Amino acid sequence: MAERVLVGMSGGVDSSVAAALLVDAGYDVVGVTMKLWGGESDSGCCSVSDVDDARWVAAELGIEHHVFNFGDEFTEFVVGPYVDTHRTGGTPNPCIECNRHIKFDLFFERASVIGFDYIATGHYAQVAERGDDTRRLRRAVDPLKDQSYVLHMLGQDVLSRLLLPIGGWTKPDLRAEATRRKLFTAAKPDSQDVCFITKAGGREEFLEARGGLTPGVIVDQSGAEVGTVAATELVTVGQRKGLNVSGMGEPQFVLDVNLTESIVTIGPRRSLQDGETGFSQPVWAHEPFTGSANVQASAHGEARPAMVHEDRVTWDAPRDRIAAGQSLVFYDAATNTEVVGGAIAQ
Amino acid sequence: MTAYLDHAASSPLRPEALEAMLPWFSEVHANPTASHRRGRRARQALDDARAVIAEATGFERGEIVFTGGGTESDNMAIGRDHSPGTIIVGATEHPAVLEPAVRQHARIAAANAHGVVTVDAIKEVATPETEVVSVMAVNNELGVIQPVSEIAAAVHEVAPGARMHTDAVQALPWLDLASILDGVDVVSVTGHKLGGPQGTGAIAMRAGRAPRPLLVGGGQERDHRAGTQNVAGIVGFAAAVRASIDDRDERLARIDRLATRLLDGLVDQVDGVRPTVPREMRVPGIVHVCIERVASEPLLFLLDERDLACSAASSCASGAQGASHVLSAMGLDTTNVAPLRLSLGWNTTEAEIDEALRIIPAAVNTIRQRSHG
Repeated sequence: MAERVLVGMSGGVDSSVAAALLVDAGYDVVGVTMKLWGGESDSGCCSVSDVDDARWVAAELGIEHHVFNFGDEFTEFVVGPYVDTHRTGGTPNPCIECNRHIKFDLFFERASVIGFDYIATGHYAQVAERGDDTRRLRRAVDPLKDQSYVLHMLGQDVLSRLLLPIGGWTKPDLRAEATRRKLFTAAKPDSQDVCFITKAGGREEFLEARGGLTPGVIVDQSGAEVGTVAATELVTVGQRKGLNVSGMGEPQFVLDVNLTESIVTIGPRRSLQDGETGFSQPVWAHEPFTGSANVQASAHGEARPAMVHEDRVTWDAPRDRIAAGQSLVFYDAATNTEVVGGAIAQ
Repeated sequence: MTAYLDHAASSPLRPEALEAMLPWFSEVHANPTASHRRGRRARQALDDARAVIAEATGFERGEIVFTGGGTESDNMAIGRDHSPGTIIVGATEHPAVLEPAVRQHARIAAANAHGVVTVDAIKEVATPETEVVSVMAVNNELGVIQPVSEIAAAVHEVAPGARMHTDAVQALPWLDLASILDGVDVVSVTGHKLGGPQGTGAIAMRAGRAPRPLLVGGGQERDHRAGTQNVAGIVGFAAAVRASIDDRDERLARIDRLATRLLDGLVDQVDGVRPTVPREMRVPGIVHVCIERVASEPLLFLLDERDLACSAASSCASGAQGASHVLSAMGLDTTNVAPLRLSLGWNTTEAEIDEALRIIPAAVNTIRQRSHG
């Protein structure tokens, strides 16, 4: 009997092709759209029309399609922490928390309970098998689309039962494939940004409605007030634009966001440079790791050489400070392609 | 072998309905407003159907207006442009009543632990300014019967001019509406819960209490509902209602026996199954249970995989299972509890009950084992 795969279908072109490739490969495939967010959204992964798109593609592929409602869990594990992190002056990454708690925990667990051998998603990343019967998450073939950063938390339990059918594809090839297959979603635009934040309302409106926003003062490194900011929660360490401070000589960057006192400290670029970054909540692909690695601090940022210690990384060359709440992802030192682990910057 | 235990969502077409409809898809065809003989024949068919719905609801033939279904009837009954606080609806109403009411800032009458909106609960929120009260005769999730006639009396005492509406969509297959709707001004019914075609329904309304039309332009249904009538559908609707009245006593006895066997069997075979409402408070065909230590979505998935059709709570437009507002109105904590509605209907067989009693315990056990494995 064919092995059974539960494939997450967001209604986008990537997961549509992923499902099609799994069907071609001879798996017994069932598609699932996760209903995550019941509030307003521009599109993302949550609206009824996206569910319809996924359903139509499933029908085109001749596979069953179901909807799983993880709305309560999404609010608890993704939206709540997103708001909380902003409230404490950090910079959250909700896509990572969604992957950690929803797609590769609840969905993964659900697949086991209902009797599936594998889960699959339309993420751009690859699972590499090693000789020692362990696996590693590897960067996608398309460097522009690589999503290994947001999937870095996957451990052996998930990696051993995860299929990522499109990790070997470039986006242009994948779109061409979707067109060739006449998939309904072939020309659908990529989803952007955070799925529960609308373009019209933005983070401002979202956070305003969930506890308000705090006006703050901007000070220089000596503590002298040089300006004000309407919403301290929306300021990010490293930010340069939108501070409305002039006559300071050289360009000014946010060095620190203190939500307790609503103080934003700014200074010149050189003051933003750090030789090390502390972290918490490390996760590992296999076993805890210390040593040389390439460390990436944003979804499409450059991975830089560093030493990973127990609770911090020391950068080979000083770099701009990383906002608390961002994820640090450790790739192997030699090739910068395999995820060793990751953690949350403090 | 399959089992269809989702009649409360939609019941298969009765053969009587199909037979009555077929000529209207082929040899007979006309717009019932046309003056020629074919048109007159179509109009006659509508009037005959109207008489059946009138008999079934206890209204006059002239008080019956055909609609596109229960939701349309409910929306029309609630109406529009009411001032905040002047609409009262039960907490366990169908979304077709709840949503238009809540959008107009309705007052919500609480349900008790059995899911019943009592006369006292209505009295607590009713005022002389109340314009519309809507309480369903039988709840669609639980099958629980509500005291609509007593509520109507209480409403009219406090607010004599108020419109008392009852969604009788789930009551029509099981109860003699004429005997339970005393004092109710406006009633919604649909065809497809008892073997009529989907997309058919009616609103019955006492003279002088009629809500404003939703659709205008054409004058059909005496100006209460514009648009060419769905003649074939209405004929099928009436045929299903006729058949349902004719076999009611025999059918209820048979289904009560099947439902009892189903419920007893589940309680017997599965740990942690309890009926949500006592038998004497509900219609025979809707069996609602709460199953402990199992989640609802995976259970429905496995049941569907074995081709047992049933439902958990309300389904939202995306197809996802939503949390039940009915169970939360009852104060039920459904954490790690799977609510399951097994609804029987006119063609439910012993074999389907056997199948359900084979599939459900096995699926529950599978989930419990895998969840703790």
